[in-house]
Amino acid sequence: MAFDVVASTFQHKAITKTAPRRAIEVGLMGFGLMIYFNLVGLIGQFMERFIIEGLATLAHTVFLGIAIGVGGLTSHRLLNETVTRRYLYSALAGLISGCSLAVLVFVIDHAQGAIFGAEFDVRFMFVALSPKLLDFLTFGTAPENAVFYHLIGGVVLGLFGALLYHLPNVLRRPLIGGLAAVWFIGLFSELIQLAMQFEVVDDFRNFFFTWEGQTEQGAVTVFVITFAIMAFVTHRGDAVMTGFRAMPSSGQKSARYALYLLAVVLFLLFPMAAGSFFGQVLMLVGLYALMGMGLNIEIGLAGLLDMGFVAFFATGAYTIALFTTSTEDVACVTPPCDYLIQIFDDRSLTWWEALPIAMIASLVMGVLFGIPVLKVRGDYLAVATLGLGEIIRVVVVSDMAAPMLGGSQGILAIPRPHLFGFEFSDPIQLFYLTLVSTIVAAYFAWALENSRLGRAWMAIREDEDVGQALGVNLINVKLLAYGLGAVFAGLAGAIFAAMLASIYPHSFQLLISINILALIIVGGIGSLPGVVVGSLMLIGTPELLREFGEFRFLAYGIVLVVMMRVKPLGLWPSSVRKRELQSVEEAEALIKQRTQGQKA
Amino acid sequence: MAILEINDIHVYYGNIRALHGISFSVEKGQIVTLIGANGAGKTTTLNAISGILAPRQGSVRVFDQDLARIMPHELVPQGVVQVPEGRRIFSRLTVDENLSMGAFTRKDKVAIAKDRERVLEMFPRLRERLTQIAGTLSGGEQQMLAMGRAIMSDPKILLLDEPSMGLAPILVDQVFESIQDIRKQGVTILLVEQNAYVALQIADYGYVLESGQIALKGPAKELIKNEEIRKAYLG
Amino acid sequence: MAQNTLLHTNALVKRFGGLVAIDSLDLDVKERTIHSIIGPNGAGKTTVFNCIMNFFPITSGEIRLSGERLNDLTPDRVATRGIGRTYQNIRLFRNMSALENIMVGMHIHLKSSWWGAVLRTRRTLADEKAGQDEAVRLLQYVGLRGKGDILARNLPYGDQRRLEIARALAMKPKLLLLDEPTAGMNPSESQDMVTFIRGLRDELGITILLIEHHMPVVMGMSDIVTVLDHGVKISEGTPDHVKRDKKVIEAYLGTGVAHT
Ligand SMILES: Nc1ncnc2c1ncn2[C@@H]1O[C@H](COP(=O)(O)OP(=O)(O)OP(=O)(O)O)[C@@H](O)[C@H]1O
Ligand SMILES: Nc1ncnc2c1ncn2[C@@H]1O[C@H](COP(=O)(O)OP(=O)(O)OP(=O)(O)O)[C@@H](O)[C@H]1O
Ligand SMILES: [Mg+2]
Ligand SMILES: [Mg+2]
Repeated sequence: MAFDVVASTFQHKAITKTAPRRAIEVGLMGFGLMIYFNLVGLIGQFMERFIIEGLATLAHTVFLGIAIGVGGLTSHRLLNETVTRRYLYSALAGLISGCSLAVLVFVIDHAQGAIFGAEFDVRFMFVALSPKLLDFLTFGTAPENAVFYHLIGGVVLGLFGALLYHLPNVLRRPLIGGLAAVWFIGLFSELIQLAMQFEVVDDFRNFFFTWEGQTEQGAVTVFVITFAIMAFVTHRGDAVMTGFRAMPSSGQKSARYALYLLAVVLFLLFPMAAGSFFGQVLMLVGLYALMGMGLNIEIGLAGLLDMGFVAFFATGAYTIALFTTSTEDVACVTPPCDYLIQIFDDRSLTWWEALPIAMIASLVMGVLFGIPVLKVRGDYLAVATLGLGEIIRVVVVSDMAAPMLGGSQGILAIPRPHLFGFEFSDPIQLFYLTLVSTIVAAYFAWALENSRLGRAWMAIREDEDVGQALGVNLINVKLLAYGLGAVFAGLAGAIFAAMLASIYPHSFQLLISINILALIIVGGIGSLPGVVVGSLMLIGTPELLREFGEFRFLAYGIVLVVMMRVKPLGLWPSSVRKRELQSVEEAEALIKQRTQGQKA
Repeated sequence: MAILEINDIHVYYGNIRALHGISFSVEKGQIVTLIGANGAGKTTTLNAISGILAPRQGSVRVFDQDLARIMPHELVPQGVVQVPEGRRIFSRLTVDENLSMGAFTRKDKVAIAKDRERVLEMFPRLRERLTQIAGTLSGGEQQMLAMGRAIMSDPKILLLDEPSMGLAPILVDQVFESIQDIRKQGVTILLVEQNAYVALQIADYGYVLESGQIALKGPAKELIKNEEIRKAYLG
Repeated sequence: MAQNTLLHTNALVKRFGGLVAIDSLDLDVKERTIHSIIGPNGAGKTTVFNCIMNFFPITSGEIRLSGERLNDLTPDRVATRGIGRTYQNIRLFRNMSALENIMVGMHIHLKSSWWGAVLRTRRTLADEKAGQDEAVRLLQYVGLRGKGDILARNLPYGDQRRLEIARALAMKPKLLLLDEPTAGMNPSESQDMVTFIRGLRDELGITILLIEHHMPVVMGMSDIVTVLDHGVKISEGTPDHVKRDKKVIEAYLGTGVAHT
């Protein structure tokens, strides 16, 4: 059979390793992680931040999490061993990861000194290894004792991890769930409090939080409640599901729809309740999802790699800016352009009037963009489009275009959209505008995907020559992919301009193109829900972690790497990708069911 | 003692079982052939032996070591070499580079040069095309290259998956003669062929696979006379 | 048989750098025949197909389909003139379902536009529906009934070959170019394929240009056989004539067991 065995995702050969080797590997992973987090200064920042006020900082929880995780993972990887030996190996792995902190204490304690008469100072290289960190790591005791505590701690936590792993579901799930809930609520306590700024809930809020973090009583309450709920679900969940299945199918349907409806309503109300910070974050997520859907047409469907996508976003934003502002806002003196602007400026358009122009402009830009790269294939396409995208930004800041486009000063005083006398001004209102646009765009993308054009796109993605030999006009189809993809970005750009009310060339950096590309990969290439999930992960999460400054990009990086390791197809793979993993037999069973269903 | 021992292997693709319990062993210097209809599991068997696929159950022993404990790339220096189905040549490299890649793990320059000469004698067409990009070769030429590359690896066990596919009849005869020559040098050969008649003529022993199981086995001389086989596979 | 010529090549030459892959080839394919091209490996057979589709510019000469010159058309234009093909090393859209593969084959016959798809006009929906029904019929015709939802890459080898033919048939071609359709099939499976291809000619009236190395297949069903060697036509005629031609035996058939 001609199957792509080597590239297939099924069963790559895994080498059988001995148990001690596995345990040591896992332990070293934990060891490396701990050392790394300390060296880069992450812990230094985390130890300022309480998860539970006065009791546990974020840094503590990271250490605990790693050590427990190492213990659990070791047990998981040694399924063939006896239970006792699993515990032993988990303890060993925990010990190894605990060593990291012991080593650190020792190193910082001897940070300055002399070897063979030469002075040295560890902090010269590793700024983060400060006396403060030493204090934190020794709990204020003597360093010698602390080394000992860390080793013991490693063993105990490793064992605890193994214990967690071996607990029956009814206990394990609620336990882990409860701890996770406490952690998340502690981590986001500030944001949650921001969303609870109504007088009626003041007491409630103060019971759970102070501005330092979660209160002890709050943490206990959260834990108990989550534990109880999860225990109930784990224990009785099956029974509930059976009850659900036993309902007549119409009842099932309405129950399901009721749930969906509830979710949608909650989602719609959320930004209003949560305040403008969340509105802003969600709106960004929406904008990126919108652009992701556009890029998904180019990359996911038509297989045309595009690293200059931000150009279309800029086109949309600048077109809106140009057509809705008046001359005084643009410093324009030179003859050809003051003439141009006069034409436009007899009457500045409203945002809604300018919107179709912006979308058409991006479509045209997309097509123009596509023409020079029509014959470029594969990896080369990435480089070529990268260049094109940069050209556009450079043109905007250039002296030539400056009089019209405002150069690096940008264009200011862009009016907000009005609808029936209602102004979209604050982030929450704009979020709803974005949401509606995204939904419309998603419908477009879905309809296109399932059309003749969509199939032609997929065909040239798979094999250009064969597609052409079947009568697909490559030029038309590729230019349409660029053009229609660009419209989505143009729409996003238009909303973006309204949000900021002023735009600058430096808002349209290469990083945006990269972000969009990353989010559609993380979500699952070619999948529409994947775009939204990817946007939440890669755009939403870093925004929520803003307080950690540049370190939040560490989270971004880790998400990318871990994702590609554990879910290479993305968080929400497209149905096609899922089908790739489906066996022929399953598919056949499915078909049988369907044909029988038709007969009945 | 058997040089290759397959013990009750079960191989899955996702949830479907492609092989359910195949066992056989091959002695040094034998030619053993696997025949069977499309989808019977012949290629899957070869892939399990070369370590590309891992059996979920059962074991493969090569030179008396358990395959589960060695990585696929460690097998080549030991002499387990596969000519994969559908000629997986390096299509962006030249013919010459492809041949050199075959000898990637070998050190002895003189021996390599000798083997290269042998390959080019076997397929003069390759000598004419040493600098051509392998991906632009015709289908049959690519098949020759795949075979040549395998010989360059100095195999002890050679796994051939449909080596005659896409070859002109005159060349098919020649390739089967070469296979016999290779065996004379002490190489053990596992041969998968659609052209069962020819395969059984040069093989010592044959196995007939049917939906992932061995349906029939026996010395090749006997199989070739078997009525059922004649009907099903010899046309 | 006084049939019309469907495809005609006139002094066709194709060079790759210094290599002459096809040398001044005159080929005359009559309507409603099965015309085979055989020849040693690297004789230029697949290259003839690539020239007909205009995958690369030919060096000199002329190719005509029912009198119309194909030389200057891009492959997608050639396709619309009624030529479909399969490939020596199966080139399906591997990550698309069998049904979708066939639907792409219908590209030139479906008329719906992308805005029609977005607005869900009645015309588009009707067009899609008709296309799908036709695709299901084609699947059944090539013996892949009920396998429409399976990804092309997960189909067994023989089914992949059949699907590739179905995809080409979806173009409703006048001329079908088949490049080694029975490669990797055992003799009895090849025999089924012979029956199938004959049906294409007799039932659908399609003209077939076939490349094959399996002699029972070629000799069993061809109306005419052309033998190429080093890009040059060395023999042409009925299977019986070609089989006995000394030049063909020497260059291609040999005397061994393989051509039985
Ligand atoms: N990558 C794959 N994904 C899913 N199923 C597969 C895959 N490869 C093989 N199979 C299944 O495993 C079974 C055995 O396939 P295998 O390729 O070993 O057959 P084969 O005997 O080599 O056939 P052929 O003569 O066509 O080469 C088939 O039923 C096939 O459907
Ligand atoms: N792009 C190319 N560049 C250089 N040489 C080429 C190119 N394409 C084909 N060739 C050469 O042209 C010759 C004819 O190739 P072609 O594929 O037509 O052979 P074929 O008759 O189909 O052979 P086979 O039966 O092996 O498939 C071969 O020798 C091949 O190496
Ligand atoms: Mg096979
Ligand atoms: Mg060929």
